[in-house]
Formats: sequence, C-alpha cells, structure tokens
Amino acid sequence: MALLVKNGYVYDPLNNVKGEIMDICIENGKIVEKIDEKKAHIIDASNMVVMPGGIDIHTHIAGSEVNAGRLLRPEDHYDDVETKTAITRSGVGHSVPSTFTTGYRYSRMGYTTICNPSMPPLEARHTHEELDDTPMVDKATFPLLGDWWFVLELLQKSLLRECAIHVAWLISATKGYAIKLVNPGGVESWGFGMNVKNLDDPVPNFGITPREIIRGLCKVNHVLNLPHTIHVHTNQLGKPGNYLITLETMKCVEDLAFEKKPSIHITHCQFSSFKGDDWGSIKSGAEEIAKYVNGHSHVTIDMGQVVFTETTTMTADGPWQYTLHELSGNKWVNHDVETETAAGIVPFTYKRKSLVYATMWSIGLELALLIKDPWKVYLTTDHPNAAPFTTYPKIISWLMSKKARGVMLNKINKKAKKRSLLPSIDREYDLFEIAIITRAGQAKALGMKNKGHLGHNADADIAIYDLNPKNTDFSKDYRIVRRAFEKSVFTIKDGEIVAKNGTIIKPVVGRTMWTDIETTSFTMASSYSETLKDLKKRFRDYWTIELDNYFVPEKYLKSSEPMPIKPEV
Amino acid sequence: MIGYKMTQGTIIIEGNAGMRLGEGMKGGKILVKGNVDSWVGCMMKGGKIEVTGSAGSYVGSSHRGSTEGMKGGEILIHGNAGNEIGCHMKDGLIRVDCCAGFFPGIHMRNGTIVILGDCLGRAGAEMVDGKIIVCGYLPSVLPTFTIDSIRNDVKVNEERIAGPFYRFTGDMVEEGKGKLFVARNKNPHLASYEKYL
Repeated sequence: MALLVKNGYVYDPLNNVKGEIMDICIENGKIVEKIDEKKAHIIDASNMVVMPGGIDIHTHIAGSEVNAGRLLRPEDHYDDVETKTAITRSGVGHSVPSTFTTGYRYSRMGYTTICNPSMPPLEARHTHEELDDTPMVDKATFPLLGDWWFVLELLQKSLLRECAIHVAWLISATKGYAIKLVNPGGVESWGFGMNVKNLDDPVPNFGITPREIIRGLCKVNHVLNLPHTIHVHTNQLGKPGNYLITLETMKCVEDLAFEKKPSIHITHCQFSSFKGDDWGSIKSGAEEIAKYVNGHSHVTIDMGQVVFTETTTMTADGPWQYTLHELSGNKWVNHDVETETAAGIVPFTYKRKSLVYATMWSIGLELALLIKDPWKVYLTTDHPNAAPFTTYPKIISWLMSKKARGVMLNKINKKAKKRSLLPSIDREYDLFEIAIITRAGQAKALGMKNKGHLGHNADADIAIYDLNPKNTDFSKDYRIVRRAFEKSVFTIKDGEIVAKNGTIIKPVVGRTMWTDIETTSFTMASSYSETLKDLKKRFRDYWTIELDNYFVPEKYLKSSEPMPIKPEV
Repeated sequence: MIGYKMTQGTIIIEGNAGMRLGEGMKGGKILVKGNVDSWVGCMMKGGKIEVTGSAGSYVGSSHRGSTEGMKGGEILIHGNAGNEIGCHMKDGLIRVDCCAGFFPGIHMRNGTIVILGDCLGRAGAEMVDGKIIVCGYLPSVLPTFTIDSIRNDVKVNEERIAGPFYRFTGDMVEEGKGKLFVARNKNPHLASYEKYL
C-alpha cells in the first residue's frame, strides 16, 4: 500500500531536516521520493511532528532472565493489565510486561526497533522464541561474550584471530547482533564468590584482566567489522566511586578507534558515574564523564535514567545483583549460566526521598545535558532496571524543560538536591535533539542503515506525534510534550499504519535482525576443522548441551533479517 | 473486589462476598452479613471491614509476591479465619473472634492481630515486629521464639484483654522483636517454658 504523510513538521536528523514542513512518500514498506498521490492513502499530519520510528538501543525485553523476572514478581502484574481486543492479545506487567504487551506499548509510543542487550548464548533459543512473540517492532539481541570461556582463554593466549573466529561462530550460532560485555571478568569471578575490583584485577583460573578482555573484544569487533561497537556494562557498576573505572574503561580503548568512529558504547552510564566513598557521600561523577565524552570521539553512551517508581532490576552482573539484594533485603534470583555468564534479578523501588536514588536520578539527566553532542548519548532507562520503558515521555519532558526538572528537584531528597548539578544547567533539548537521542543517534550507533531516518529507501518506520512546534513552548508546556510522546497519533511500521491514537490497529510480527558474518575465509582455513573439533570436545566436556543443539538455525526465527557483514581478515 | 481502593462511605453486603474485598481501601466501612473469601482487606491502608461470618485465608495480607501488606485500618471477623492472616502486615488491627488457621502474622512488620479463639499453629513465623495475641489453644510455639515474661493482660488500642499470657519474643530467624502473647490458662502444655523465666 502507498502512503503519503502530508504537511507534517519533519525531524530527520540523519538527513539534517529540522522541523521543515514536508511530505513523506511510502511505497512497499520503504520511503520513496515520489508516489502517485491519487492511489495513495493520505495522512494529514498538519500541525504535527513527524519523526522516524523510535529505536531503543538497550531494553531487557526477552529471554530467560526477563521470564524469571516475570515469575518472581506476580505482584508486578496485578494492577497493570492489558485487555484483549479483537486483534490484540491480553497481557500483564508494569516493569516486566509479557511479550505481546511489550510490543504493543512500544508501538503506541512510536517505537519501531528495539535491542535486547543481554542474551546468554546458552539461552538464545528461549530469547528468540520470546522475540518472535514480541510483535510490532523489529528486534536485535546481543550475546554476552565478556565472560565466555573461549573468549577468556583465547584472549589470554593472545590468539586474536582464533578469538574472532569463535566470536563470529557464536554470533552466527545465536543469531546475535553485537558483542555485549557485562562486568567483564567479574561475572566469571562471581562463580567463585568474587568480583574484579579494577581493570587490572586478574580473573580466577584464567589470569586474564578486564582490560585485556575489553581491548581484545574491541579488536575482535573491528576485525569482524560488526555494525555496532562493543556494548559495555562496566566493572564495579552501581558502586560509589565507580566513575573512575568508567573513565579508565573508556580510556583503555582510546587507541583502538579507527577513522574517528566510536569503538566503545558504555551502556546505562548513569549507574557507572558515581562519585564518593560510600553511600552516604555519594555524588555525581557526570561532569567528569561528560568532559571525557565531549573531548573524545570514540565513545557513545546511553543514559539508564532513573524514574521514581517501582521496578525490577535484572542484569547478567551477578555480583552487583547480590549487593542490591543485600542493600534492599528484597527477594532475588541468582543464576550461573554454566561457562558463559550469570544473572541476577531483584525487585526495587526508587524513592524520591532517598539520597542515593535522588542522586541517581540527577546523574542520568546531568549526563544527557552536559554531553554537548546528542549523537553521543541516547535515551534509555535500561528497561526495567532504572525504570520501565513506558517512562520515556517523562524523561523527554525533563530534557526539554528546565521547569519540569525544577518541579521534580523540589520533591527529591534535600541533600541530593544540594549536591545536584541540575540547577546550574540551563540547557533544554529541542525536538531535533530529541529525535537524535531517541532514534537517529541510536540507528547510527547500531549501524542500521535503513533505520532512524526518512531518506530514500529507508524502512518506512515513522512516528507522528500531536505536537505543534510553532505554537508550543516546550519549556513551559512540558506536560503537552509528555502526553504527546506517550501515544503517537500514528505509528507506521514497514509502510503500514499499526497504531493510531494509542490503539493498536494492525498487529505485525516484526523482524529479528542479526549479523550474518561472512565466514568463508575462516571455514576455508586449514585450522577450521581443528577449531570445530575442539569446540565439540569442549561442549561435551563443559556444557550441558551438545554443540549441535546449541546452534539456532535461521528457520527457527519467525521473521529473519540477516545483515551481511564481511570481516576485514 | 468490592470496595477496591474505596476512600469513604459505607458498603453493606447482605450475604456472602468473594475474594479481595476492600483491597487497597483507604477509608470508609464495609459490613458483610455473611462469609467472605480470601484476601479480605489485602493491602488496605485505612477504614474498617466487619464480617459477621467467617473469612478465608490471607486476611489483611499482601498480594502474592509482594511485601506490602495491610498498612492501617481495622478488620473484624466475627467467625473463623483461614491461614496466613496478616501476612506482611505493616500496621492496623485484625481481630478474629473465633479460630484462625496456620501462620497468623507471617512476615509481619507491625500492627496487631487478635485471635480470641484457637489457632492451628506456627503463629508469627518470620515476624519482625508487631503483636499477636492468641486467647485460645495454640499447639506449640515456634522454636525461634523465646519466652520473655508472663503478663496479666494485653493492651490493644484502648481495650485491655485479660490474661494471664505468656509473652514470647521473635522471630529470631529475622532478628525480630515481635511479641506473641499466648493465654496461659488455655495452654498448660506450654508451662515448661516457665522454667526459663
């Protein structure tokens, strides 16, 4: 079907369109230059904002840990119910919604692509089954590689090429998209009740350090020519004083940047920007982090913004989740994924009157406001760790309005308010910058060439919001901004209207994107049969499943979209 | 879910009521002239629920998985109540005029539970604070409770319930300082505790 979106204020940062009144033509799921107006369905977007569909670079929406979270938290489901309609399915969940509900809620907010950032390779099948059941959006998932035994062993022996072959095989085996590192080295140490304290603390039994893992996988990422950088959850996350280790992590790959392109993505950076010696003296380290990011082109970050609400924390960082459980006294799940990674889940409530949580709230916003270039910082809540993704409109209003931030500042812990840098920051995002941090920047960072823009041949994923930039003062009327981003007037996915005024009108499956690494050069190599033999032996010795059952075939995905990649070796 | 999150007014039910009556209510009054099912007044914050018949389990407790039990208000059951009444209770009063099942006041943080009749047992398991008074027969006291004293009566709001009562403290598993009062006259099998006083 052909669609014509007429007279909207278009914000398309990748094509440098800043709120110009334009028409967008859509045919066969793609954006085209011209269509026959008589044959097209016309959407009148007058006095409305037109943006590419939203992209979320980091949101835990599928897989075994999310499912364990659902199981752990029946109380999360009672008061948040999605009722069945003639075309949509029922569901529940505030912070860990069921799969269909996740898809519907993203689509209502104008999002069309989301990335599940934490997939234990062993749980790939489960993750893909849930992604298949998450409708309305395109999906990608990042396998956890920072503590995978092969990576630790091969990098320790400085066998970079071998490591690249194994990583390429694993990404292909799990239908993953990018390399994810969670507390590199620390998660393996957690298997022995320990954690790594700094980048040069050796991992038990392997002798490798977090610095070597990060640098090694960064090089592997470059060798394999993957579309995204390494996606790093830093060591010592969530602990006072950790901003130093975050700076160290960014510095350690400074020399590995090529052609001024980013070489590392620090995810949910808010959790990694704490200053202070203990919880009582906690302060924001956002200024130092922002200063570093402003001065270097090899780093991108996402916010991991805290919103004061009840939520569920879940991460592969087992030792950190244990700390959270000890701090909160809440129930928890702890899981060791054999030779690969770990996981922990703890329900959590961020209270305004707590010094620590109020400081965390402030840090996220400070990061976004102090980093000058919006292409380097993206809007996330590390759903559901800092807040559910449904709170994005609230965060957008805080970014666009100093007044909105002021209202919340008056409600938070007084000590935290005194320590916050927010009162001294006057910056307010405009819609162009919001379009960058919610879609264009994320598409660029993920290397998704057909996403995040409205140029010729891009995927026709579009969000239309009821906002008139000409007669609305976003700084004063921040509630209008919030309401507008809560439900799009139209969400268009692959050229079809899928949601209208916050109601799903056409359920669609959504594709699973994965990097299809061209491995002919590896498989042709004489050493490949040896590698395969070794893999089989290791699986027999150490994994609970055989190698043949580990591999997720492409036909297992409901709607597969491989992204062909040619490695540089 | 009759009276869900009600704030004021009165509801009178001539007959039996189902589950989750008065869930999350903040004020007002519900009178049931009959029996009610489980989760009466779960997560309630204020107001009063009176049941002339019996109630099911989880009176004034939290939802499954939650630690947010009743935070205020009064629940009066003139008949019997089921198991785990006052689970995760944080404040308020539950009074059962007849008997209660197992685990009254499990995970209790504060507030008062009065059972005028017998209790099936395991009262106050994992309680941290608060008061449980059993005026009838209690088969045994959990081993994680220690006897503290013998009291002639117990004060509940403005009322004094005549004893004497054995006063136990616990649950030591949670390093709790909850108080469990058990009627001395109805529980001669607990007399062996007196040697520890």
